[in-house]
Amino acid sequence: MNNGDVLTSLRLLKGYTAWKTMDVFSWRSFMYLLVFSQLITPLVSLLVWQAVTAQEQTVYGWSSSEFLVYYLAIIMVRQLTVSYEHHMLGMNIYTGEVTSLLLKPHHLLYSVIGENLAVKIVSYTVSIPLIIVLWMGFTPTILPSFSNVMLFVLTVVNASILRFLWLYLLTLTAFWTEKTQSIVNAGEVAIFFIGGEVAPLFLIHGFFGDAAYYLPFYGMMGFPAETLIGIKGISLSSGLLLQYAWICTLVLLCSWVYKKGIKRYSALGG
Amino acid sequence: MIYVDDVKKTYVVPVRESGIKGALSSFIKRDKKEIAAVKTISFEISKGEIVGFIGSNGAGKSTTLKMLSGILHPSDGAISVMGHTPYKRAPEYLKKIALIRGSKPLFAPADLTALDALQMQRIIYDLDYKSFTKDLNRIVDWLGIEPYYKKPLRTLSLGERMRCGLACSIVYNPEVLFLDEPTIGLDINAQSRIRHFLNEYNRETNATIILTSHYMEDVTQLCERIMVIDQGKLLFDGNIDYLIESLTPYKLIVFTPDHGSTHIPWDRYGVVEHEMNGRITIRVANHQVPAITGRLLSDCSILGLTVENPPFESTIEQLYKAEVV
Amino acid sequence: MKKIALVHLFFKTSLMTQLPYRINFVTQALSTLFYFGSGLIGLRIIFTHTDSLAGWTFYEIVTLLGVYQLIAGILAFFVMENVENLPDKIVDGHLDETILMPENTQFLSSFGSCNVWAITDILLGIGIMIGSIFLNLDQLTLTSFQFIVQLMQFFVLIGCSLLISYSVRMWIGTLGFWLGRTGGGFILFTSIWAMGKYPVDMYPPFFKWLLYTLVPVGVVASIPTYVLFNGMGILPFMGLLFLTFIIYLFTNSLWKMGIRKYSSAAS
Repeated sequence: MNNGDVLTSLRLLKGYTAWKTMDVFSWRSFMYLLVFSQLITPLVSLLVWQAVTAQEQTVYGWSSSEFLVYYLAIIMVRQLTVSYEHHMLGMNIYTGEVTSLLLKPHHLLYSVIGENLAVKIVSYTVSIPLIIVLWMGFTPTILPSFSNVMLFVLTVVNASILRFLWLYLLTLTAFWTEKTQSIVNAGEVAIFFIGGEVAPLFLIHGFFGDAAYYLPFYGMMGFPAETLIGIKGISLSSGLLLQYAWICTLVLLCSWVYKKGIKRYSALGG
Repeated sequence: MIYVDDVKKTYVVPVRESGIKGALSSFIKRDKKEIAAVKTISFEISKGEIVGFIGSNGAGKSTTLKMLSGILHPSDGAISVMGHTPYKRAPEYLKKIALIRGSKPLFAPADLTALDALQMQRIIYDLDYKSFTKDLNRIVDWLGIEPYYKKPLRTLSLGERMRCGLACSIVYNPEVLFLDEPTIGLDINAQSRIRHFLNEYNRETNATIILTSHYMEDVTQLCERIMVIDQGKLLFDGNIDYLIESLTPYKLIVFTPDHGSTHIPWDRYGVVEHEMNGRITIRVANHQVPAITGRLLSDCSILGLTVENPPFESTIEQLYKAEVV
Repeated sequence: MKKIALVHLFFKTSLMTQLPYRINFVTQALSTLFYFGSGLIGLRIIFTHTDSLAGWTFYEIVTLLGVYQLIAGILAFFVMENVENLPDKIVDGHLDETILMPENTQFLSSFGSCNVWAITDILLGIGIMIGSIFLNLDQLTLTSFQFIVQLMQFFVLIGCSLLISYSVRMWIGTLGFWLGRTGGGFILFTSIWAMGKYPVDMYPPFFKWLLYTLVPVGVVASIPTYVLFNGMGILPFMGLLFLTFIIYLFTNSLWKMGIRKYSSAAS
């Protein structure tokens, strides 16, 4: 790829993002409701652990203040890595509307990534103020250090890419089944459940807890959240390694499944 | 039986300018505008009549039907149908009327059959089981839906669905039928079957039928009385023949002269409408028709000649142009 | 009587249309187990670090989860789909056919198509409930009379819970008459609703107050389950019945106002 190609790609991406942002903005009130509904489950988990540690108890060295920062971070990760475009893509695939996208002289991903960014832009207009209000409302006693904040930003960006790739992979099943909606929903629950939202992973014991450290979900939720308060589960380097290794694996998987899917689509004619 | 007295209907609709600027300003403040769909109409319809409502899109036909059936509340004025005020939607009233839309003839999930839909009507309209079964057989025969009324609705064609929709409505013997474009999207054959059926239903049960249509055939073949609505106002209400007579007081003489008389200037006899393949159509005032025909036949050698009414569409066109009759 | 016949017919026709899609049954059963299982494992994790949450034991909270599942299942079975379709129906003018039928329009709009596969939620909920009642039988140091009273109260409160849960959803649907497509409200409400999977006493005072008043999530599962284990005095019990009645009346009148608005403005 030379410089010109990179420029063209960026221009395409910018164009799609701007175009899709206008589209998403037209149903922003729906997006805002989604922002609020995404807030609830981590909030419930937070309140559960606050109840457990209510009488000054500590769980593996964490008191209610650590849990508070951790869950505020979880809420942030969840809001900042937001991704809904796969619902539209799934619908487009099995209604056959994807055909018009496939006829465009570039890869399908440009419009999907553009839509992902558009969803993020519109949703940030509410979720970022909301996060600020939450930080002020709960007033945690421990504040993260500057270097932790920088680390948090880096790992959240990685988490965004991971979440996008994971959901995109699941959405591609729409080439084979009409149950994509359920599959994607289950995939999202997996992120939140095994990723560290129900409980920080280091509180889960046994094989289940150990295995979770090798799955991509920790890299999408728990790991970036832990960087803000100080990593508890695994070392920083192995966490980053986990994120990058899964990004590579998912990229390869996605392009393989995409090729298979397109082959099937063109064989059946939609 | 149906009295409509000075009825008006206005809608409030939000308006916004196009483009980003319009979107932004509507985000801050929504402008609203009142639109009068029906501006003061009054009429009476007696039992057993078949009345046709005609008018262009957005003229107020459907709004009027919706007010008559009770879906919409008139903004002003009074409506009485069989002694009921429609918008109160008393169950006794609703059991006596049916609204059938050509665009959406059946109100049932597509996986069900017409029979399922009919069973549902039995419960909703409190029909007696015995007489329902008897009526059902009669209706199935009458509408000719026997071959497919037990098949899932999604497998039926539009014409078949329309007939099933009619079955669902007449199964409770309504005394007034409101039909909104009953033949829309149907082929000529299916259209004429529906018309034929409506005529029969009217004759057998003396039901009142009010229909709107874009197809002039529907109106000319079914209705003696028509109402023309334009821009929310009643332009004409009366006998269809009278309307033709008064708006287009001329007939068309269509004739084919033999090859020898091609040089004759035909506008001597009347206004030449068109000339094709040796067939000539001239427009002649009603009272002159016998004289002109006589002259034509004696002056030249004519191979064939017919006298026709001008097409109904042109009558209606005249009406819109004239605005008042 | 006519309404029962209609619900029966709705059920029968839904069964006929949905039975052929057996794969849906498998998906529904799997997702029921998945969501319940993840809830259970989550609780297990929490309870390895504590013995009680706001005074509730593990078994009590599992029962609560079962009750929640049952209520959600019954709603999903009969009304959910119909109520959630309301805003679109209102905006697209598809309510015309319904309001021309000589039957209560609120009834016809609430019932209609049944989601027969939600039976998996109902069965699981009932199973959990029965199981936990038997497991806790020895802990319930009660006379059998007291036990029967509590059981009766429990069932009545489940009825209240159903009615209130239905009502709140119906409000969201009915608001469509004024606000247009309010479908997003269901998504928000469903996630708030999920707060009822835990005992409402666990939440901080402000949330607790909210969940007992404005968004009555506490009434859904917490109160019936609490009453099953601890009973309830006659006065608060009657109070709840009265409250349910008021909420129900409000739902009805809101609907009537909505219909009036529909027929005076819709196009």
